[in-house]
Amino acid sequence: MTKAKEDILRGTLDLLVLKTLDTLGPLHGFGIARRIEQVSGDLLYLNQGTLYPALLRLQQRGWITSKWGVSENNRRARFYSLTKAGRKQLAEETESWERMAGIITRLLQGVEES
Amino acid sequence: MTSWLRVLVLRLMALFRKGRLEQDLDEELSSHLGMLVEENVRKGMSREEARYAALRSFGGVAQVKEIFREQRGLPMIETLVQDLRYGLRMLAKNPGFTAAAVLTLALGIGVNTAIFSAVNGVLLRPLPFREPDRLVTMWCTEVSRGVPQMGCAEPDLQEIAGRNHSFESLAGYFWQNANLTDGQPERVDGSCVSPGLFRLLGVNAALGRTFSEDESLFGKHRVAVLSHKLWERRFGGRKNVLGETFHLNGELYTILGVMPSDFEFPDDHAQLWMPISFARNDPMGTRDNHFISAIARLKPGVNITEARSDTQAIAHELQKQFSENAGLGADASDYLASVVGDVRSPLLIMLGAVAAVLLIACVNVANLLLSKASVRHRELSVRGALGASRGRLVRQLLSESLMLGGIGAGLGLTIGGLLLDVIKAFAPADIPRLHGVEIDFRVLLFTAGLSVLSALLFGIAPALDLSRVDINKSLREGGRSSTASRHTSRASNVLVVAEVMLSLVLLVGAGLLVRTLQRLLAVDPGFQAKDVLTMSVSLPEAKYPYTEPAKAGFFYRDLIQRLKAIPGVKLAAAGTAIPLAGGGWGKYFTVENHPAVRLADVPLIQYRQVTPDYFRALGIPLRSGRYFGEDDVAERPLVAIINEAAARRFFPNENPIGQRVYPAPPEQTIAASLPSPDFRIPRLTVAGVVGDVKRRGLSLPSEPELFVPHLQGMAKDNETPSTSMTLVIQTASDSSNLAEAARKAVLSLDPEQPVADVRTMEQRLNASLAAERFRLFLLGAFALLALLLAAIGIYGVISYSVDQRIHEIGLRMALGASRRDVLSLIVERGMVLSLIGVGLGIAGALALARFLTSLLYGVHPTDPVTFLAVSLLLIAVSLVATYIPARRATKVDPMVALRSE
Repeated sequence: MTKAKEDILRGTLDLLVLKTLDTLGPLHGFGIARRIEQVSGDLLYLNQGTLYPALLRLQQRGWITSKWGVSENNRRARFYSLTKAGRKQLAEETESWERMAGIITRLLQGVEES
Repeated sequence: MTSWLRVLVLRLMALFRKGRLEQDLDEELSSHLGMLVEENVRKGMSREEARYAALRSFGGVAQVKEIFREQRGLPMIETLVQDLRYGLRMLAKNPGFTAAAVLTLALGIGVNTAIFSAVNGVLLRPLPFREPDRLVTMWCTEVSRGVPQMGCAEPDLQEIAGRNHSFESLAGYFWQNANLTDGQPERVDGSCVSPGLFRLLGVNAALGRTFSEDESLFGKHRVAVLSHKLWERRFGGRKNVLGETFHLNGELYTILGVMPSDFEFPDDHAQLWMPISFARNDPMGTRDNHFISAIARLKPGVNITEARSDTQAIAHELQKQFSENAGLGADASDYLASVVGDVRSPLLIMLGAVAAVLLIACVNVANLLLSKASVRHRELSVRGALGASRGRLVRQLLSESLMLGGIGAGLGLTIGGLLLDVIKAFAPADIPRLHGVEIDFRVLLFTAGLSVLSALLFGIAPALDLSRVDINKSLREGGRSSTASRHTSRASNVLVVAEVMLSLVLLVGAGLLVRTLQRLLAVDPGFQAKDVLTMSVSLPEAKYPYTEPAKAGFFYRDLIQRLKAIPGVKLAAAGTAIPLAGGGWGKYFTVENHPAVRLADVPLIQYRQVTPDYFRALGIPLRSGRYFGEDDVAERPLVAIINEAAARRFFPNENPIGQRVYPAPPEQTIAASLPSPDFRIPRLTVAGVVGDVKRRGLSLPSEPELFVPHLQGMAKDNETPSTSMTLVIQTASDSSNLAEAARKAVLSLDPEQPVADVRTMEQRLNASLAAERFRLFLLGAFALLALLLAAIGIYGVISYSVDQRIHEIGLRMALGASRRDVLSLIVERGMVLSLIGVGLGIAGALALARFLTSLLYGVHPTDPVTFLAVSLLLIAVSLVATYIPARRATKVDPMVALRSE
């Protein structure tokens, strides 16, 4: 039996949200969720509801802001956008993610070689 | 770092904008769901399908909201407020349950608050003196004569004060009756103290000053310091009393100062203080009279052990140096411990008892919560389904318990305050420091702690039990979760056994005290208490000096004559140290035929001076010889009467009548201190032997006593007549106004002479049992409370189990079980539990009863009668508590029970 979808790695949701907003500009929650699922080629399983506590957390830290607007389908929705602090945070987290990914990759290769 | 601060502020602000934020959240989520639905519709689903699919991929809306809310506000505060509000609603919705639980807890916490207040105020509260930890009490001993603790002689105190290396300062003190004669004559309790006492204690006068060192010199000593109370009562609280003179014991004293209102030393009875001072030739100031108590302040860094060995070593030196000090020792101990020593263990026993009561109360409340458990299973399952985590449920249940505990503690504080008032009103007068006991900060803290502790005790098991709910199962079963109820009933069983056990232990304690009081009431005091009025008269030394013995001698002779003339008086007499009045004077004792060779071997006897009708007035029986008569006067041969204890001890194989004795050591052992080498101490001929009297208390053995006629104190070289006597007046029945007539008789002889301590012998007898009665009252009340709670507990558990088993019982009856079978089925469960509890309780009581030994008289702590009676009582009570719900079970209509399922 193959595993259909991966759960999102703990702690990476913040990074995914920040990166999405960085790439696409202001976006509502549905759009963010949709984007994350599309980019992953529908391989990531996102319980869409769990996005909202994360969005609130990022707002509280001052990395994103939000304001009400109207969606492409004329529906009222809250649009989130990246702040300056958020951009800085994204850079830091991207760097630290790459460093960590590098370490883990090297480690896994090393294990296979020996 | 300001990030966390920013988050905190945002979260705090969120608390106050909840409504608006909640609306935002709803709108945002529904907008998201709407987009999901639209997308699904575009993919070709029907509207209905699209909605379900959207909800699935979104996850639980309620759960998301809950997590979101926790992230948004301050969940701890919010849930607390929420839990409290919810808890209050739950409690209000179940008024019966709430009232039962709160009342049970309030009783448990209330008795604990009251007893802890007493423990706190009597045992723990620091003495109101400077650095009270460094205060020690010091005393003399005469172990070889069986006296472990007595006062010291003035010269010995001076020596110890001068020679020791342990004490910063040392002060002596003794009680001194003080007759105040300006205006209505009144006798108050005063204390003679070393001038440095107040500096030693670190307390200054509130007005004026205390004594200076030279005011203990005889001649300069007529100065006094007043208590605040006496100053207000007798001197009108005037600021200008300083320097005024007043009559005290027939002499003119100058007022030096007034102490602060909270100053008490040696205890709250002392109303004025005088300097200790002895004239050069005063026998009271010699090495032979040991009556001065001492308090000392340890030097910094010196501990009590060092101080003790220092004191003991000095006493040893004094023994070698002074022949009078043969056999005399000295010792010291912590001052506060010496003040409260006698009440320490009874108080701690009471504290243990109320702790058991609280435990039982907690057990009952836990039982109540458990029996509510099945009802709540459904509710909790719903809350779980709506997104509450298990921790959240436990927290909610515990906050309900805490609220119960809090309300119980609030009410308990009130009950405790009332009980404390009762205790203070009815406690025997001799419990030290009790009058100052109040509910202070420490007590409040204790009570608050108790409420939390008990909430955890009774709340944690039911909370854990309930929160273990399997949501699906529980919802399916409509809240009738059979596993949980089996669980619950096992917990209930343990709780019932525990409370039966605890109440048995308490009942055994109370039972032993009942038996003790029974035994004490059966003790023959050796005198007749009925219709005997007593009052004490203390003539001032200044007006009735020992150098003119006839003054005191004839005063009492004339007074007795006048008392006898009062209508209603049958017999009148006077004596020193009458039974159960305290006081007493020990003297050396010599039988002329068997004189001791060394001073250290001379025995002691209790020495009394009495007027002729003393024994008849008190109904003390004559065993042989004769009573004193009117003609046993100074000019006649000197006579004495001894009690049976003295006859047994000093004349084991002889007839004491006609023997010659004297209350002093043989002349050759004290040759150095005799007035002249050929001085002969007057001999007394034993004229009679009287019965033993319980003088110090009904539970204490009688000591050897020597009685001499008061008037013969006027004979040459004899011990002078005592100036302080207690009048003993046997009256016709119902003559209550005689006290006033007797007072008038005293005033007719000396218009300045007050009487004090007016009490009937029956009152004295009752007062001597006051401590035992009071302990029994307290422990009995606690034990009954425990029994009541245990009965309620058993009733509750059995009654609940009947409710649970209605279906089963109905089935059994439908299948042919008789009412008898059902009855025994239910009763059996209750009785098994209570028998296990009784068994464990007996074991516990056997282990604990020895702590009661010091409070018992004439009964062994493992007294089988008590154990048996108490066990039967508990079994009977649990039978009743089980029978009532069991009878209800037999009334079950099988059809109704089965149909209800």
